[in-house]
Amino acid sequence: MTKVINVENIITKFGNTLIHDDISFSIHKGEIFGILGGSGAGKSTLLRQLIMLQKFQSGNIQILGESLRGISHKTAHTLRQKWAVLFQFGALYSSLTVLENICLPLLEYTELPKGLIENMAMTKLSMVGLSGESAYLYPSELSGGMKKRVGLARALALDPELLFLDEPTSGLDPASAEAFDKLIVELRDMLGFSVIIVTHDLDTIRSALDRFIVLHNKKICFDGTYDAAINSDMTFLKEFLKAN
Amino acid sequence: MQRIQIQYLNANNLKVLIGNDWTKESLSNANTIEKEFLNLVDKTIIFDFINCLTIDSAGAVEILWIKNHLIKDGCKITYVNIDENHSKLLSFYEKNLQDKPQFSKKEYLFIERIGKWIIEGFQGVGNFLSFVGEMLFALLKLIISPWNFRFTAFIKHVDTSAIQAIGIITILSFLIGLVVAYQSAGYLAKVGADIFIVDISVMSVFRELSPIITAILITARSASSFTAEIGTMKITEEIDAMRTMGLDPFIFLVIPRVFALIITMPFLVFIADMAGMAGAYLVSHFQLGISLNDFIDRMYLEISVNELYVGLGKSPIYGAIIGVVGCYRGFQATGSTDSIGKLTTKSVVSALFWVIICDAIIAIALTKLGI
Repeated sequence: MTKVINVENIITKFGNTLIHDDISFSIHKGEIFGILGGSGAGKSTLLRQLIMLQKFQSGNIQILGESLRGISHKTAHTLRQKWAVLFQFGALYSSLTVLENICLPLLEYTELPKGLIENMAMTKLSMVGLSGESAYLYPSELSGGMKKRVGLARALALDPELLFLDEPTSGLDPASAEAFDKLIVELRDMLGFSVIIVTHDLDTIRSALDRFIVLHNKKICFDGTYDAAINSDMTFLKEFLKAN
Repeated sequence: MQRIQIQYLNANNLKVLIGNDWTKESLSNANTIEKEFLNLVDKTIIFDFINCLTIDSAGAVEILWIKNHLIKDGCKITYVNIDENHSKLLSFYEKNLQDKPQFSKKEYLFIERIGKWIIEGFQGVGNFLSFVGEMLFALLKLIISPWNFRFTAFIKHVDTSAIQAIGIITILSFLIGLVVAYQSAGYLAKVGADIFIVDISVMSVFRELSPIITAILITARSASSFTAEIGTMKITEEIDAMRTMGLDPFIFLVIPRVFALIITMPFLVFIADMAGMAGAYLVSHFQLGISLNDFIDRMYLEISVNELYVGLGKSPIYGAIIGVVGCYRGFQATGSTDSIGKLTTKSVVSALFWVIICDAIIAIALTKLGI
């Protein structure tokens, strides 16, 4: 299997506080990969480092064969078009309608005719389970769950090879959360992208993730599948998976 | 390799060869529905995917739209030589194809728009009056139980709205006094009425310029920040949180802000008056050679102290207008963050508008009263 992301010996410090101490892992193509850990364990920091929003002090990250250390602006720009991020609260542009939000990346990065772009946007909207009626609504008129779905539709606009999700099911009711997990798995099966999820939703961990890492005490304390995790005899891991 | 190639097998049977790439790159600047397909009616069409290598979402949606268009015109479509993955992808996207709904923004007639505008105007007045009413009710509660007055918040707003504004108000008023005196100096010297420079500068600065300049600066600094602060609190549900705790947002947020402005405005105007006089004296001295004693004597003997009182007296009214309008606009914030930007603009514009209207009314009233 080809590695889409390879993280080697990452060390992160905020001032004198050590966040990550020598972290290494890799993510394969087509995998749904989880980054887990308690609050303040540095999950979100790690995600932000992967998507080049935050720097790391030492080590290296390779994404789709490009090394993020000393990356040129041009490479970074092309890399950013190959991945998409769904932020925790959707991060929709509040001055644009749902349809305009989804069309935006297509209008900026492709030369496709306007009609086709709108047809594509409507299709993506349906893929995430929203009907056409929401197309002209503004983000402030949407519920939290709908915002996340629209955010996902926008993330899917450019057919990304990598999809980063930051706590995709937080704030959703159990039924919507389950539907969202199913949707991610279904889209992955259909479109073949790799998914990196930061989460601490036990249902997501159980039903959606192929493999995950658990951050604890600044290090990775587990790297493997859910079955391996529940059968391991590490007390922290057992508590973590039960307590959540 | 062409993206699409049409071969006629016979009059009613066609074969459409799908090209190598159906991706965002290859579809750049394409027409949404290819012209060739526009006049095909009641044909049997075979889509041949033998050359097709890659299809992405743009390609799939485009192929499906062509297909739907043809089906609508009574054609029959079949796929041949299609890769299993492509077939799965196409049926996945086909399931999710949906039309863009009609944008149902209602067009209003001119007369309807006027009507809407008038009704919205009345609603605006109603909202504002109910806001003022709520504020007065809070004030009444404070009169009954004055210990509920938020003294710390009041002091904080005195500091941010007034004390921190002293520097800029002094500098600008000094310059205004200087400019007014300078503009008149040349003319007065020509007619030999040098000493009247004192009358002109004192009257214009005390009566009009200082209060207006101070009001403009306070509007720019405080009305905008009141709207932005309260608007953000409204959007982040902090105001709802206060209400559920039984804390009256008018007592906590509005009254301290409005009172801070009402009470500090006369002091700020007084400072502006002094700075303006300093500017005027400087010009009188260097341009017309009037000594400090002459300047003060002239003020003392010829100019009624009413000039000062009028300027100071109307400034609390301006303070009240600025504070109430700033807070009122903040409470109007709803939903999204971009409403705050619009409301801040509105707040500054309408606060200034009402300050100047009020100034005009006071000027006329005072003239009638002979003050």
